[in-house]
Amino acid sequence: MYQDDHDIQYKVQLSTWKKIISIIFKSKRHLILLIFFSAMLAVLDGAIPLFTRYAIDTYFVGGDYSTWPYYVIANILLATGFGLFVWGFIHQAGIIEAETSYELRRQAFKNLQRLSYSYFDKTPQGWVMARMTSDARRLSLIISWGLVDFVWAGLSMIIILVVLYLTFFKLALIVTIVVPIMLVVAYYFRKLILKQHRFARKFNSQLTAQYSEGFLGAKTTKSLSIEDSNFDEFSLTANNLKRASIKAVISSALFSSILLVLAYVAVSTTMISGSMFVLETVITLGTLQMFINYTVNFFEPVMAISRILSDFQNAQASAERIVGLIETKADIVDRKDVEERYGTLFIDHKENWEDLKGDVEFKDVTFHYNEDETILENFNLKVSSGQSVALVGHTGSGKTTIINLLSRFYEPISGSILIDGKDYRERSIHWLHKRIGYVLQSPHLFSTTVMENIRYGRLDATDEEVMYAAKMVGVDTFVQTLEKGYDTFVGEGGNMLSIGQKQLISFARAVLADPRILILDEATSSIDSESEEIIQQATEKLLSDRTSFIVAHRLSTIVNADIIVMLEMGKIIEMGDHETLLQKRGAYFELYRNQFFKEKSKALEDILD
Amino acid sequence: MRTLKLFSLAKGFLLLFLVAALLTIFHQYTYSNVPLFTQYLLKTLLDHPGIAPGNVSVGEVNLPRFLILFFERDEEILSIIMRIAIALMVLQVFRFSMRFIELWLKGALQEKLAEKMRIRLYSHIQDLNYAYHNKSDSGDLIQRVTSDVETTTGFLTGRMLDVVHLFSTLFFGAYQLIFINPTMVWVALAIVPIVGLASSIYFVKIEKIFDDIEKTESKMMTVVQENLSGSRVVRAFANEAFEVEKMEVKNTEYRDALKRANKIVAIYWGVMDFIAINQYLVIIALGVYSVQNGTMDAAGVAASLALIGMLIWPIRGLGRIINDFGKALVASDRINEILDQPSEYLNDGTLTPEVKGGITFKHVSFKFDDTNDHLLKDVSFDIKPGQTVAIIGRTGSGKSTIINLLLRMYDYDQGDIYIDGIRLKDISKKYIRNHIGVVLQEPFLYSKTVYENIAIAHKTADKFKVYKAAETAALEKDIKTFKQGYETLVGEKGTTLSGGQKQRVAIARVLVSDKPILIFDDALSAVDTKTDLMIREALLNKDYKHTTIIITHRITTAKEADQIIVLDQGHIEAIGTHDVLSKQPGLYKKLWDIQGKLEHEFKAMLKEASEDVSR
Repeated sequence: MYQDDHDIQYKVQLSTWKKIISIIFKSKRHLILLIFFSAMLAVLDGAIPLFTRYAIDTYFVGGDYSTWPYYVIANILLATGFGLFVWGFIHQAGIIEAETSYELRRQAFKNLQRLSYSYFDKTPQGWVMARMTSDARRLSLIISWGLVDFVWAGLSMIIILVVLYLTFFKLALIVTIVVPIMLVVAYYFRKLILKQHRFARKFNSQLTAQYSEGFLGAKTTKSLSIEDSNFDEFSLTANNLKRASIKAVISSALFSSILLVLAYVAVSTTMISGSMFVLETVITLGTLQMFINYTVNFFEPVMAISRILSDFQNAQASAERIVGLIETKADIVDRKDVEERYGTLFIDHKENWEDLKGDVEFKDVTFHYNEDETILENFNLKVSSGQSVALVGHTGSGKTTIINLLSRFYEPISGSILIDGKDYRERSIHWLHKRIGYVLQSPHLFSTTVMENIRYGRLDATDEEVMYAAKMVGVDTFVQTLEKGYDTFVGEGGNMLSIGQKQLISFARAVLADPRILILDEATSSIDSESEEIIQQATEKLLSDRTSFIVAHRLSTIVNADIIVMLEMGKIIEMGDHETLLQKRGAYFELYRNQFFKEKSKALEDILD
Repeated sequence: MRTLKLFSLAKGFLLLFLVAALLTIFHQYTYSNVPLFTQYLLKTLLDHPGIAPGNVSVGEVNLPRFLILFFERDEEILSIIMRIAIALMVLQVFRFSMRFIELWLKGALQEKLAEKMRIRLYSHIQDLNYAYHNKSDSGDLIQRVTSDVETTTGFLTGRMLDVVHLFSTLFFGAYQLIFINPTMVWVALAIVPIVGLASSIYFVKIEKIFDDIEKTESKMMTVVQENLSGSRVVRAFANEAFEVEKMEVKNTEYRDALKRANKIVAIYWGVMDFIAINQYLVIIALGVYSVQNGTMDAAGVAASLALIGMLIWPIRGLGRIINDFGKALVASDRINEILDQPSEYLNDGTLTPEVKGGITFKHVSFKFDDTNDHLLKDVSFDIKPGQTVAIIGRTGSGKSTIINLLLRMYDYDQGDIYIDGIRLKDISKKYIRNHIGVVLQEPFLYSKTVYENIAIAHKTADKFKVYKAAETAALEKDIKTFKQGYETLVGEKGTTLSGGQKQRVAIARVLVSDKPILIFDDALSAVDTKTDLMIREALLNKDYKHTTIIITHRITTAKEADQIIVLDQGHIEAIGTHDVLSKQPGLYKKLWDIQGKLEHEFKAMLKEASEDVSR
């Protein structure tokens, strides 16, 4: 489903293009100007041979120079017009290109914000990125410049034909006859060339993949000494790429050569029959020269149109992909009446928002991601305001699902989740998200300053409030050691900071948001013991006085929780506080023992590190 | 010098290039003849009585003699016209056939050169030593071998032929014009330097804006990318509207940069076309003057109008060629920087002795050239064939360095290493690597099937052997859970394996053939203790004798080795068996004691907890 298929759709999808057209129409003014400039250019293009004919007939053959000054002025005007219209259409096409790609990205991005978390869970990032970059770019490029060419070429063809038919229809007929032949040839070749280009592209991405593997796996390759077989595989791909590329070159060379030959069949025919008409003095010498000129010029727009058609065919796939992104519907949406009362994602009706106390209840909740599996079945759990719940269990036991459901990233398939006694679907998603806090297992930082990263928790917080939150969880301590303090740039993905520091910043974010319900997805990745201790203290600060759900890995967090919920295959198998559960000598006991040795032997490894 | 190096990349393609260049020149020559056919036709008609009274043609048409003779073989004007048209047709068919061959050759030239460079680079990079790979950024390398290769080959073939094209067009255009009217050539050529200069300036200017475009685009993409990878955070803090605003700013900046570039493009082309049309006017004016003078006729003017295009249009490409030359220089520098690195096989041994598994380090020291700290200092030990040896020590104590030296990933600078009494440096690198099975801490899997990954070094291995290796590495169970079993695709495009699964695939990989030396460089770190033990037992039971080196953090693993080497800051702190080391003071004893204490602690805590509850 997520393969980057370069397949061409031969069927035109009307709904897709409707959307695209509505986007282009946003720059209506530029569109009109563009069509105007292209059309004028076609007119002038058509006029040049007429000018030359006039010059030949009047001055060179006729010897009458009385109109010469007017001719000069007209020609300068023509040149000015030409320059102006060329400038105009490039300018307008560029604006339309920029505006279209801007609008495509804007709408796609906005829709992405509306989509539920589940979408991101199953959609590879690269897939979305490709749509936002290359597809948006290609589509807007083809649309804007294709439009220019299309208007220009179409009109040029019409003007040339009209002029020719008006001047002398017998000669014009000759030119017309060649056109359908050319179109058939063009249609056949364009298809072939497109196919060959796709082949070459396929080998090219294979080649890049092999390079990348060669570099990333260099040490492994050396230690296995499989350089020779890797090299053979690579050579084969490089060879395939070369052959496919040359094939494509040959086809396009053959194509354009055949078209040119056809064009000159028409030119030669015009020459012969035109000269005969000149001899019979049916037409002037200037008219003959004009006919020859037009015939030579006529085939440029024909080729342009065949190119545009294949470009559009190519763009169809891009269009579908990006429109698909713009029109994807969110899995989880608010009911109409809820939306009216609470507002939408972008316009809140804050005046109708209730405060949140923090009682949470899972009532007969059943959930699965796919039809053929069961993650949670008739799950029940009641938590009162201010209590902390540690969710423990093996991978796949349903811990993450519970917090995904609680955050309404997903919704129960049956049963309900009550917050302060009311099904959370009775209130808006945005209401919930504004009121719960979420601290991630792997903290996500934006490439901006420490200050802005913390402020992400509550956008209207003052600098003082941000710093206060930072002090609470111990961010302040390491920020003081940074040269620029809170204005330090954290780098892309926060890679200038250590994992522990990143976690602390995401803690500070949650403290700043000051939610009534906090969800903490504890990190499994190990950090050094010193940071571990700081994090532990920060965790305690963070959890105090809130309802909290923790996917817990650290013993200290588990032990301190009010309720420990031990899960297995989506069911609660043990529940209670630490002492009681330990006493049972059951699953929790096993888990605790394993974790104890893991953490302690980590301390042992720390001595080694 | 840089230019020379750029062109030397195309070595071996000179002949092909010359043929393509000749064809290009030929193409331009024949092209310059096409307007002359019209000229001749018009001239014939002009001279025909009753068509243009009072006009006579002036001068000769510069077509090859045989053509003129062919045209004039018959006095009948219709026949002459037919001859002209047919000759033109024949010429064009011939010309387009040649053009077809020319384009083909050009394409082949470019693709062949690219293929050669790609293969050369791949092979060369494979042969570079591990130190180079270690310090180079793979993203940057990819950039060099893909887009830099394209830029370079594109310039060396396409752009260089464009230069040939440009000058031959200019030359033949001027050549034909001289025959019609010499003055016209000078008038037309006067514009060449102006257009050339303008286009050069234009390309320098636009280049800067293109930089801007790239920068704003990458900033915008960062916003998108961070929004995607942080989709949970965005939702959790309900900051969707804020994100949309953030994107709006970057999206707008990018759009505006695009528009700025386009403004310049539009002005440039507008001005160029204005100049070109005016040039036509000048030619016509000159024609009017010459016709009055009697030095030119209508046919000549018509031909000059067609020829003048040959002088104007190509110059506009000059800026682009100059611009691409600059880019190609930079790109070829980056390619040559790789090719200038010496291959690691320049310094290789030649012996291929039988390897039994005896390893001796004698006073070995190692440090990187650019640092003063020794990673290994005066390390000596002796491993007998068939022994199991554990190496234990802190991070950075030099454990992995020992392995890297043994595999000759690095070369030691003092002391010596012997394999079964033969100097390691005298043995062929590939040969010794072939006889040491090493499992790295973070093994790399190729994007192939599980089966192919296990059999990667022995593609023709017996199926049974591959399955057996998977079994020994405790991988069978995992493979059964995969939908496609052994045929499951792993790596970037396939299933993602867990760290432990990856390590076990890597273990299976070295077990397919019976290697006399097996090394586990902390290779079981992501595998749980139970499986760890299972694998080690399976290894012990293998039915051939092999030396095993295990680098580990787990003291319980080290405990069972025949010999334990304790490393500290690059030198050996102690060597001995568990029984000896656990009794003498030192790092090993310290570790062992803590392990014991831990177990004690846990028991005590349990007791405490149960007392709490019972109270």
